[in-house]
Amino acid sequence: MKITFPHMGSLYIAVEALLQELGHDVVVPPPTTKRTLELGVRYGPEVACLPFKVMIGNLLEARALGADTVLMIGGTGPCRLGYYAEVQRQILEELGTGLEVLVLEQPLENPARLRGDLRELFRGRRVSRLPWALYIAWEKLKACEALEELALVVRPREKALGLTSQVLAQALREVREAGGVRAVHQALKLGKVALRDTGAPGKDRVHRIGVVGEIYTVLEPFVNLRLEERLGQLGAEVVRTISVVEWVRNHVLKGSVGLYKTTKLERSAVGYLRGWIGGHGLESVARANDLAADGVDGVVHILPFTCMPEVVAQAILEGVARDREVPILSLVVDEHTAEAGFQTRLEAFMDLIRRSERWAVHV
Amino acid sequence: MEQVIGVPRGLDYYLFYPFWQHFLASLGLGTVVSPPTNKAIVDLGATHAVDGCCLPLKVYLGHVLTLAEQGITAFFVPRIVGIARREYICPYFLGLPDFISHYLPRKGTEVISPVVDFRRGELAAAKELIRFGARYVPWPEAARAYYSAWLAFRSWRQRQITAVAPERLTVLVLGHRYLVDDSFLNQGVMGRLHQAGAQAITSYQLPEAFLSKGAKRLGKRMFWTSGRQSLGALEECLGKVDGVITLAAFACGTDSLVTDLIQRRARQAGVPNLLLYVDEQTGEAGIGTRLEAFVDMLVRSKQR
Repeated sequence: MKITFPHMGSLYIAVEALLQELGHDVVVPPPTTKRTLELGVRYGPEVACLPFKVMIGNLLEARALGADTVLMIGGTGPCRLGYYAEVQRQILEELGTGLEVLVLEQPLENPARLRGDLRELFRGRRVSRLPWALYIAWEKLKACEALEELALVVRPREKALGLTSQVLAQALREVREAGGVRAVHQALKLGKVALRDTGAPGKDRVHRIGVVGEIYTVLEPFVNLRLEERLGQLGAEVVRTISVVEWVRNHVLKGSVGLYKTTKLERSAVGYLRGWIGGHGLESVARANDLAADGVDGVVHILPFTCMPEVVAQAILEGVARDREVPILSLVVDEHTAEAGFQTRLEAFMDLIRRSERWAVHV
Repeated sequence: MEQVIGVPRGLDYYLFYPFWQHFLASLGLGTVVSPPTNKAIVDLGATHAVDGCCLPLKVYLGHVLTLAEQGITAFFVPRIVGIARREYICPYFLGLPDFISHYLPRKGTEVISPVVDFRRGELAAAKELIRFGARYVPWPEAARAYYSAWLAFRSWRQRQITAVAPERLTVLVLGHRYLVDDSFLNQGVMGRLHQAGAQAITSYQLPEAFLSKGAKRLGKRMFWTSGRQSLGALEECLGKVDGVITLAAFACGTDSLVTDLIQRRARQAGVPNLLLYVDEQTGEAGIGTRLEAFVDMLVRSKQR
């Protein structure tokens, strides 16, 4: 059995470690490219959202490298992601790929099915290694996120354009190659030092831009056209509000025992949104409000075309922008999003922020 | 002067109006329903709404703004979390009151939005709605209002269950109810089918138990009510109908996956199926031609 899974940012590092520790033969899909998307557009439903298409592309590319099993997550709505795995399974079957789809669903959803999928996943594997595998995957996940977040801070202050991204890629590679938890920590430490080293002195004050939106588009650099890197290179320190570590803590650890509450988010979104609307819609509104209160210079909201929860958030964020007097730019991405237009909009947004600040000084 | 509450003729109107009509009247609230969808309403909604939202939501906004132009200041926009156990309609219904509030002037307008949540059973939902009613009348009266509205709603639902005449050409029409019932948005699909001599049945003309039975055969439990009903109806009607027409709204998130599942299933079962996507630019001629061709094909294959 050769197992694969779709990409989402640098998450593959942790998932790969988890599956490898269990003794699986892991095929990480090639990095997402235009070709991946073309495959997804060809075989996915025409009107499905962008993440669906990219994921189908990932799986087909992994199959070309010999994968025969897919690991996906399920869900119970109302966001479309919950039904991804089922539609993907049918598409892959119809294409005659022979890929088997194993789905990690909520335990109470369909216990018999889940038991079957888990048995398949663990058959002949070292189940006793599971706690250790989870531990190392968790440490790698935290390390990757820490490095990426540090990169967001140092990038606007980098000595040479593109240096941070190079150093970050190298640091992530080292985390990926680390064989044990101690090695992960070592790689993290060295990576942090290397990242801090890219900064040029005398560039202390930069603009701070918050990024909110749908988790996949925020985290997957191919889909968001390297949004964070672009903003950083335009001289903005990006504040990321989406974190996989937090997501796991809230939805897997606390959520599974019913301890996760959205009360805090609801309080932040009060006056705009009266509760959870699926996906990351509530998060987007709440975090944009928090960011505005925190005094960021602007907020970028990114979402896939027709993403239901985020469209509601998009409308409401217009109100947040007006009330809080903070510029908010909503960027909708789909398979037709072109680099030039995207870059122009970001540049214009940054110009607007710089200019409004100059005015503020003169008043 | 007594305040008149505007009820937009869109989305939940098609699912729930008989209930609201009774319930609000028993609470002593006067209501006015916006006119049936027309070009002006569609354009009004499409101009104001954010780009990415689906056609029915844009049209709903059009209805709200039309009511606002008539001088209405209170709008009835419920927050519908789910209308069946463990199911949702879609994220738009969850955020509907907040979405609509954004497009109304903040001062001087009121959005009345009870929470409708049947995901934890009818009792929990009833409690929530009675609590809402108790804002206007003493609670025992609100409870009575709820009960009579519920009875009216149930009999309305029951009246729609129609028997299918097996000898006639039968077409199963699937899709969100607010699309199937809005003859302006779907360019009169139902009427056209009728004219062409076909008998059109929709998923809500079939008993709920029948739909759930079909939906049980799905590979994964469908968590959108409309999707479950459509797929359940399809499963149960395969072999009993001559063709399937799926109505879908442009940019509708749930339709994007459900239509794919419907088409694949119909293809596998060898049932002719037609997918009609509608958006604000959809023209009468295009839909008409496609429908005619589809019905002609069905007639011919039935004769053979």
